[in-house]
Amino acid sequence: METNAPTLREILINCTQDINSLPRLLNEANAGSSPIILNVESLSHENILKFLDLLYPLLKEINLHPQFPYPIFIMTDKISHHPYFIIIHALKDIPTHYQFKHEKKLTPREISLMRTTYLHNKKIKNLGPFEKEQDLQTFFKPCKILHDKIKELDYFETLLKKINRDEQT
Amino acid sequence: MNAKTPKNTINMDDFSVHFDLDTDTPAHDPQPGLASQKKDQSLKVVNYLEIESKRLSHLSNFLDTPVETHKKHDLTKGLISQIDLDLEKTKHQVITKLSQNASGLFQNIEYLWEKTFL
Repeated sequence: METNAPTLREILINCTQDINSLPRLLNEANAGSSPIILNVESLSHENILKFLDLLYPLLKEINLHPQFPYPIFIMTDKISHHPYFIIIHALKDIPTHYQFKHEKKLTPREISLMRTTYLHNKKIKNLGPFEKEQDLQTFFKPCKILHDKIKELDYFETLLKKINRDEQT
Repeated sequence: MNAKTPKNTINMDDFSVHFDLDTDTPAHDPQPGLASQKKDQSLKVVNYLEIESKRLSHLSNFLDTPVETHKKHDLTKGLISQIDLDLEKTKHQVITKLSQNASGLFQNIEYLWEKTFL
């Protein structure tokens, strides 16, 4: 079991054609148990697309899903979207939840929590995240619609409150 | 971001692949003030791990439950319909208020126009 908290790790990729060594490097970076940044900023647009085309089947082969339990972020400003990967342009695009620094030794309470997360993580991997992907997408979609609608409602409610307040003054 | 000397270099026939793997430290210090707040640090790790534990627990339970069970207990459809109703009502209120204000504004403009030019 990993003895450090699952903090953000980074792999810098300068130029790529054959990515056969990547599984070992991902394993060393604790991918699947920690959020990972694959920094492809130095690659050309064409090479990034080639790299990502090769990366997805490779991850599938080693049963390492690019989004969960822990995400693999692709850092580049040359592309904005990808069907399988979360693209980020800068470090600030990473959810703040993953942005913290930890250097101290874990306390017994933290070690206990680490054990729990480790067991859940193992269970998720055994459940086959790639096979369940379609189900997740099916249930994510209405949640996203709901989120967008709530945001829209909030906008109009705030506007209405503002109009009412302006009328009173 | 730490740009260290590549630890792993793989030379291919036509291309070279360099991976600079930083496995020992977090990728960055995202919140400049955070590193200095040593007192809060252990607390933050506990919070982070608690959230992670819950998140992974929910995710594993979700994945472990048959799709049919999820469909049976899915509340999103009902919530979306409710939000749609609220949204329609609120939009209608906003439009009514804005048109009332606009109507008042036009009346004022008309009055000023008549006073000034007629």
